[in-house]
Formats: sequence, structure tokens, C-alpha cells
Amino acid sequence: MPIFLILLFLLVQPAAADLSIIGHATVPLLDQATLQRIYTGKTVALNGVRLTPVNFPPNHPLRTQFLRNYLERDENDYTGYWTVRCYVGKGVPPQELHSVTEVLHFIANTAGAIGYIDDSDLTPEVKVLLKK
Amino acid sequence: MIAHIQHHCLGLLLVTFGLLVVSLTALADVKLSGFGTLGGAISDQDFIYQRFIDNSGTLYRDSVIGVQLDVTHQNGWGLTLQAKAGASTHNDTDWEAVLNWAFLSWRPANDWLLRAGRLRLPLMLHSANSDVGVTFPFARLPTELYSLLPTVDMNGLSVAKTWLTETTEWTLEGYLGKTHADWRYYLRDGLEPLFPSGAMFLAYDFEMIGAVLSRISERHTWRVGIHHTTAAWDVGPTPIRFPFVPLMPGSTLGYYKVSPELPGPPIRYAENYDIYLFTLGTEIRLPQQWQLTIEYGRRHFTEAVVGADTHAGYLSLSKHIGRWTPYCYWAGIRSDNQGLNLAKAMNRNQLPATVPGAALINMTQRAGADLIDPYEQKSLALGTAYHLSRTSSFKLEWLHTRTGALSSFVNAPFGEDSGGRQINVFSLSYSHTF
Repeated sequence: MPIFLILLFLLVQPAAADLSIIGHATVPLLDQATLQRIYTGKTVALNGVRLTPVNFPPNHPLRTQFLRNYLERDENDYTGYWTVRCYVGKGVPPQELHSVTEVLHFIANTAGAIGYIDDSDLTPEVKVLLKK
Repeated sequence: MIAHIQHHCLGLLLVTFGLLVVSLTALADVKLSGFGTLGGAISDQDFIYQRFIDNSGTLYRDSVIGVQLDVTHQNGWGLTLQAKAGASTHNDTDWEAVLNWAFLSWRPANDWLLRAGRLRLPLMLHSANSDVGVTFPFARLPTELYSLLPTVDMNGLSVAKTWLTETTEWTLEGYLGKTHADWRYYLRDGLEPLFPSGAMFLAYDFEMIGAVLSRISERHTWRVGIHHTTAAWDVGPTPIRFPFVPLMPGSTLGYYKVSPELPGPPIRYAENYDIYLFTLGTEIRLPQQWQLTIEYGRRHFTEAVVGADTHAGYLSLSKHIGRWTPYCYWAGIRSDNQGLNLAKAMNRNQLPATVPGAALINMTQRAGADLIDPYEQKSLALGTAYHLSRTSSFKLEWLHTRTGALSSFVNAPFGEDSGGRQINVFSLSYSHTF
């Protein structure tokens, strides 16, 4: 019976999207540690290229998954980190874009732009930088 | 006055330049954010503690509201403006709006950050974000330590260099600047006509230089700083030693000459106070979501014998339990022996009524003790923060303070002492950022 319930639970869980970290063609491939530094404001340039990371708004499913899988933080922790950093005058959190279309358009047209997206929405205009 | 005008001109220049930056580029990211705390505090005493708190309650001590504008350009330049409204730093009755921050920043590379303009000093762990209540669990930061200087804002330059290792971030930040601020004193008896009784705010020009080294890892933050400040009184040289004038040679009966009108050898003056600050702080994350925070600050006056020459610190233990962060802290401040002993000696020095002019001289002694700005007190706080979200929280705190010989945080009633007091303060506040 318990095994049956576990299987049932797994079956009714919504499938988590497969995320890819994407960027403008000018951005080099990334490892996870570098990605974490970029999204916490510690790294602002790579190989001479100025970086512009973008996020979805808080509690967006893709953002939640990105924070958990790539930054290894939860929303509260991440928001709290940036609240302090912003109010000690050491920078502001990544710009927030509201739709997949906006993200794809911004990244395709902005040198140094970085974001993340569901694999099913990938287009040839953006470069995959990291995939877990 | 000239300094005020200079500061306003600097702010205006920065704002103009900032608007130019914004208008010239389409690549700038503009972010407007804000913060606020509505905080009430009431004590069980009928005298005032920490400028505003007594048994009739106050919203002045902890309430503040502010907005911040950040403009960042992809090329690494940025502009930050922060304005806030809160209790005035020039009197105990008004609210005022001030421009806390107005600086240009430049990140030429990952490991360098340069800032110029109106900045906040990196004195203690929470000095830079002390107005933003959601960034720390306490209802208010321990006054004993967070009052090292009358202001933590300055006009100047700051350069920070960061070294990142796999697990640790080291940052060395140096700064240089000037500011104009009021240092608050409270005189029970007054020293007419120069100093009337009550709260008074003496204006000083501060010149500051310092460096702070911090080490941040996933579980620990360490910070150590050394700072030097000169404080020049607006109206002229600052008294640094008050001579004792015996009524008869060799006698212990006499008075401290705290006013130039009194007979006796001259009071020693200096062009300015020469102040060194040493700061040390750590936050340590312990197992089971416990956190230990310890901060210490030493304020040393090189020539002057004053009560503001202090040792201060606090130790806090907190624990995250879901939305709650209960905490307790112990805080203390004590003037260095020389300054405290002088203040105590002045305070208790009373000539017998048979001496001509004794009443007036006795009044000058108590006023002198207050002007020396002595501190000796300990506090214990128990409280909790309740986080509605990461951007808003309620806080509740009970603070119990005991003063030693004297404490300038207390407005002692006329003819009485600030020492030997026990004060209970109850605080409730709501903090929010948006």
C-alpha cells in the first residue's frame, strides 16, 4: 500500500521543466560556480564582456526552479541577500523580465546578456551556456 | 553654514550628473525601491531615554521611511540616491528629510568597486543598512554600539577590492571624506549663557579616513576596521582638559573650571578632537539555525579627557524557527577610566553653601559632568521578529537597561543623576521594503 501511494504521488506531481542557462553569443560557456557569482553580483564581467543577467519575477515557476537547481537557494534567501546588498550600496539585483518572449528577445539582442529558459522554448538566436 | 552649502551643492551636482547619465543612455537599468519602519516604544520611567522614550510612549525613536533610486549602466557605472525621513539629528522635536546617499559607482572589473559622493561609512556590520529594519532581527540596533559617531554619512570616496576564493570572499574597503554633523549633549542644569539646560546639538566638521577588512564565507562573516576622525567644533577650539582649582593651596575643596569666566588657570583647548575608532564584528551561523553575533567598538580620543572615550559592544544569540526569529542580546558601554572618573568627580563635587557663589559653582560642576559625555550602562534585550515575508516583518522587544555611575543616553531630571537607573523599554515595530 505505501508503495502504491508513493507511485501515485509521483504520478500526480507536475513534471519539472528542464532548464537551460542561455546567453548572448558573446558570453562564454559557464560553470555553476561562475553562474552563482553572476546572479549574486560578485562577477560582472567575463573575458572582457560585461554581463547583464536577467531573472523572472519572484515566485515564477522557472525562477523557483533556477534558484533551487543552479543557485542552491530559496526565494526568501535570495531576496534577503539582495535586499541587504542593495541597501548597503553594493549593487542591485538582476533585471526582471516577465515573459519568455521578453527574455529571448533581450538576450538575443544584448551583448553580455544571460538568462534561463525551458528547453522547449529554446531558439537558435540564443546560446546555451550551461545545462545540468 | 558654508559647509552646509557645500554639501547641498555636492548633492545637487550629483543629482544633475545622475539625471544626465539617465537621459544620455537607453541602456541604463533604473530601479526604485523603498523601505520604512513604523516603530513604537514605551518605557516604565518618566524621564527620557535614548532621546525620545519615556512612559508616555513615542513613535519618534524607531520610525523612518525612505526611498532609493539605483541607476546602473551596462558599462559598470551606476548612480545611487537614497533619501529618508526620520527624527531630526539637529533637535529632539522635529522630523526631517535628508539625502543619505548620492553617489556614483564604478565597477571597472569584478574585483574593484569605486564610489564617490555622499556615502555611508562601513563602521559596524549593520551601519550601512541601519535604517532598513527587515535586514536585521532586532527591534533596534544596540544603541550602546551603534552610536559611535553622531553620523555615519560623509561626502567622499570609497575604494573596495575583493578577492574571491572557492568558498570565501575577502574585501578590503578604504574611504576618505568629510561631513558636518551635530553631536548631541544633554545638560540637566545648564551653563548659562553659553549652554542652556536641556538637549543641545553642537555642530562639528568631521574629516574621516579608514579601512575595513571583511571575510565572508557561507557560515561566517568577520569584519575588522580602523578609522580616524577629526572633529572640529564650529565655533572654535574644543576644550580638552578642565583644571581643578583648589579653594586653598593643597586643599581638596575646590572646583573644576568648566567655564572661562571662573577664576583659575586656563582651560586647555585643542583645534579639534582627534578620534580613533576600532571596530570588530562577526556573525557565525551555528547548527540548528542558531546565529551568534558579536560586535565591539573602541572610540579613543587621543588628547581630550572625555567620557565619549568608550568601549562598547554586544553579544547576541538568535534562532530561525520558520517565520520567527527570537533573539536575545547583552550590550554594554563604558567610558574609559580617565574620562569616567573625571565625570564622576565633577558630578559629585559640591561646595558647601557657606562658600560664596557655591550654588552657581555647583551647577557648573554638574553641567561639566554632562558636557564630558560619560557612559556606563548595560542592557539586556529579549525579542522576536516575525517575518511576514522576506520584505516585511513585525518585531517585539523588551529591553532592560541599568546605568552605572552616569549615562548620557538618559535625560536625567533637573538636579538628579543619570546613574543608578533601571529602565524597561517595550517596543513594537513593523518594517517593510518594496
